[in-house]
Amino acid sequence: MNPLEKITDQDTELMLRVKAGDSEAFSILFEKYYQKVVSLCWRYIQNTELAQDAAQEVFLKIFNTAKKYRPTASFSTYIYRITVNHCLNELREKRRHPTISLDYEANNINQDDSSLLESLPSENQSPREIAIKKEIQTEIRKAISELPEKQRMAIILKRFDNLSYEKIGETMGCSVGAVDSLLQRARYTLLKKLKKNFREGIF
Amino acid sequence: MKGECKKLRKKASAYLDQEISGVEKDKIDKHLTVCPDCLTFFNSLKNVWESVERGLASTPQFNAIEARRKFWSSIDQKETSKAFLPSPLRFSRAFLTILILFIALPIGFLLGSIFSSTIIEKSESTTGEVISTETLQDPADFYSFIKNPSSDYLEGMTISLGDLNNSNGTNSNNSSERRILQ
Repeated sequence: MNPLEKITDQDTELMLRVKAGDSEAFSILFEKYYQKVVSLCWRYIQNTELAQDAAQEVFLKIFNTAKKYRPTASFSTYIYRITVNHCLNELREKRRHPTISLDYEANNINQDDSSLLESLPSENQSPREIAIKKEIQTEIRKAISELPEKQRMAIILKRFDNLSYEKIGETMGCSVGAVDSLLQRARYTLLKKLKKNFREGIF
Repeated sequence: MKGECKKLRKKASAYLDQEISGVEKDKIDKHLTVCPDCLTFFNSLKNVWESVERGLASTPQFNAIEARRKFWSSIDQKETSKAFLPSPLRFSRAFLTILILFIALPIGFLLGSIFSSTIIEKSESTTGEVISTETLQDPADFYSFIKNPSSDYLEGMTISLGDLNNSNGTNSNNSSERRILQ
């Protein structure tokens, strides 16, 4: 058996135990999936506080609807589906009633944000090169944040969770052809937005 | 742009993600060897893909243990607040009872006044005595009575004053007692 399938079966079994009232089983699932869920939320929402709140709400939703759980798909697909729907709906709702700015936030990225620099090569790089790369990252994140919601979500699910088109389709509730179309358009839009940097050979 | 180029560029995303068949992949590979424009396009898309990773790679680390503690704390808070609420069943029974009292009773009174065949009115005479008149099918009768309270007129009337006296707190041994203007 595929090791991944075995893990998936275990997770489904845990969720069935949660359905029967086993809160300890839910704690296990929580710790196992929390980082994935909150990271997905963060990559989509691009705000730490909102991402953490969103992740809490996802787990609350799963917990509160445990009695109705039916294992029609793997548990990972199930939790991703809930997370994706929550992000898409949450952001849509916040756009209608904004309490904080959801545009690509310079207010999310501090000038001295060390987390940005962690991914940059620090050795043998001049301060100017580091500054340029930091600016590039900011531009990339801005471009991603400006993508339409579903395109952005498809990009994140493919690039960071490395889901197949079929899994992305299951998660987002669309066909494989639709996923292909979303990714194609997203990549093309990003190419146009970042074209200048490509021409200059920065990327 | 040639038709072939346009057609193959539509598959660029699936090609980069290895989500196309072997036959299609070979076709694209072969085309890229002879079409520099398409090769540039495919490479650009590939670079964009790598840029996405650079842009979002620095995901903050989140504390799962702290998050779990916060989660169960919020569950406990909700359970505690639920304990102070009456059970839904009790609430519905009480609500129904109150609803019946506040709605049904006024409706009952209203229906009673509409369909009742007895209209009892009181007025004080100039001598201070209370006159009770009985059913006046026509309000004009009342005024006729007041103007000319002849015995003939009174004989045509049936009076049942028991309820009226009782409701006024007066005792009446004769439920058919009449009190007329002197």
